[in-house]
Amino acid sequence: MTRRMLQVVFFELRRNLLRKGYLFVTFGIPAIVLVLLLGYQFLVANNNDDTSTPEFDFRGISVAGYVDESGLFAELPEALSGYFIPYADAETGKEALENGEIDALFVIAPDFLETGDVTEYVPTFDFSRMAPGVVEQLFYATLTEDLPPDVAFRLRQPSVQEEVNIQRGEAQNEDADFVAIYAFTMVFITSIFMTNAYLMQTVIEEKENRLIEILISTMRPVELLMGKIFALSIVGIVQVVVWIASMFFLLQLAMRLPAFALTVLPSIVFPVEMLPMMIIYFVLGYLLFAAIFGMIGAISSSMQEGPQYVTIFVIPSILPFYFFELFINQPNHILVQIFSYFPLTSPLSMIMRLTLRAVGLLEIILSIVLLAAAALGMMWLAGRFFRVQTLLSGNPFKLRDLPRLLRD
Amino acid sequence: MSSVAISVDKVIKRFGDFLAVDELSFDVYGGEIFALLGPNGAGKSTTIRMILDILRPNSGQIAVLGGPITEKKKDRIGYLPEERGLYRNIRVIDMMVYLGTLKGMRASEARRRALALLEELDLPDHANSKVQELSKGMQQKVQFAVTVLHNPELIIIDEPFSGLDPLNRLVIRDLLLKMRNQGVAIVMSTHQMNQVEELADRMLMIDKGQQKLYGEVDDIRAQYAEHAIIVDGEGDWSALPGVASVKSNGRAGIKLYLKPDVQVDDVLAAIAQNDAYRITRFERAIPSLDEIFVRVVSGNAYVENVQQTYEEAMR
Repeated sequence: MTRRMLQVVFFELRRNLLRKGYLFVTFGIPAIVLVLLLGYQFLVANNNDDTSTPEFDFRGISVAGYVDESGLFAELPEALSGYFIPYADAETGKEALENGEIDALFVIAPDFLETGDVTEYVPTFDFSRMAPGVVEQLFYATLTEDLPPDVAFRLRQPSVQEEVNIQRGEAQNEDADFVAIYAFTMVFITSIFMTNAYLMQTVIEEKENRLIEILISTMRPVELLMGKIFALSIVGIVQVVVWIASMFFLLQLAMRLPAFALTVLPSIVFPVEMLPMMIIYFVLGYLLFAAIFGMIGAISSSMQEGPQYVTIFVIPSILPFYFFELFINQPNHILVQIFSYFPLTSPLSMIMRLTLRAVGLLEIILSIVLLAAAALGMMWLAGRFFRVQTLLSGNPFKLRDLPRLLRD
Repeated sequence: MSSVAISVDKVIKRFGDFLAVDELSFDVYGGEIFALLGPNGAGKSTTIRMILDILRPNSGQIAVLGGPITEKKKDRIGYLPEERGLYRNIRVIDMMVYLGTLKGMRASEARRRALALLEELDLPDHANSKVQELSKGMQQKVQFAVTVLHNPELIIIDEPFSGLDPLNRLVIRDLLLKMRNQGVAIVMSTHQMNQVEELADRMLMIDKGQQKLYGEVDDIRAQYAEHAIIVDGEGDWSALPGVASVKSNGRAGIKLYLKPDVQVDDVLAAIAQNDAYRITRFERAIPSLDEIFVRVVSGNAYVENVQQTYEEAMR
């Protein structure tokens, strides 16, 4: 690394690490998730003292009247007294509704058991009072009144299910897998694209501000590009390390909080042993896209132009994400294999598969070799684009310029 | 004359079929201000970019500071292109330190020198301002400060005074003259001929990539001088001994064309000896660089045509 490249690295590191957007996304998002976790725990702890009784939580209805024409709800369960008032007939109920004694009136049809028919009366048109769950609460409370609280609770939460996919050969909670894949791919892909968008911005900024000629009269264009790429790779790695450490910490915290005991979070297995491999994919993926974004920066003459070219490469690269169910259920599917070897899609695909630990060593080696070769090739191509004629040209890039750029 | 700072020898540069620079040769010396002139598209920027190794010539030789340009030599050059700018969202001092370190300075040294330059350019309170908070004139001065921050031995500036008010123009002019007197070679590319007349020691005028005029500014102007004088005052100028013809130049005075064997001193003596004449102005009819520029680039016929139209309009 030359002295000038090193100066570019220091300069770009400093100004990109201190960007407000970067600081917010890197540190603010984990902090917000932490607040949400603790807030949820606080709410659950304060509102869920008796798990045997369903929570009466209908925003527009504090007290509901009902007329039981089915004969199924002869006595109002004690747990619901104060929330429900029975009426002998619809007319009396409507009168109470008009007088404001109740917020809504439910008339349960004689054939409720067969049809489930219920008529709701409301004083005015109000979405918040249209609550189909109100009668369900009454039905549930009536049925479970004489049962022990834990049995009543289990009736409401019948099972915490773990599916075993025999193709994958091990017991996995697929919901947990989904959350893990989602989280890890988001971490890596967001970081790759965010830092590379910064890279492209810095190039376009220097072109737009007309600093580029001063810079390339001092150093070779390729030194400038490499300095930027190296600096922003550090910016990306810092972000990924902060996010993964935060995920690990937040997951550990969630496992200890009772509010999350019944959620999918405790089932997530943090793929610690796969992290080094994921970092390799991140770095190679970053380099591949850095070359692409740098190249686009070199040919773009404005901040509006660059992102338009970028989408040509970004959309295919996130394609595997739309097939995540395939990755979970059929990790050996041909499409999964193709995605794993094709350099534009392999960083995301392999991070998904590594999260699931559903990938063999040979596949990893072959995929890494292909990705590294593509990254190197793209770097070479970026070097061809990142040259004086392109950087100093104020004209928009045309496809017919391509052969000249590659040849000269 | 000091050592040669730039030596351009029979340089040719083509862009595809377009010949941008055609066998150009010239030298620039330390301790002089050298003006590079020419109409738009004449090849000035291409020539400068070849000197700075941004572009490579197709043929010919360029020596900078005693030999072919190297990466290390780039640290001894200050360059301010015509299309220039600054990082907008960064503090002035941070940007200056960065660009100074790119030129091989230590950060502390760059900071010290940047603060001194900002003081000299009357911008000491703006070291911590962001560039986007500065006026256009202030930004121009910061750009100039960045160019000379690392005490270069060779400075190449395209349009050094664009965007500056008369007061700031004087500040920059004085700084340029100071550096020239310290032995720095300064190449100035500009369209403002009055600045060349005022500042430049030598000049090169190019058109369509070819050399048109090259040498000392005063010599070139003298070459284009007519055998005439310009006067303002009272008297019958056509009757003055030694005068062949008289032409009114409007506000620019009256031009007296002299007979071939008559000297300027003779005419002045004749005026002094005759009470019928009063003068408030008397000077040799040396054309301005503007006139020479137009004459060289567009040809004499064009100039005469313009002159005739002007005279008709003044009648």
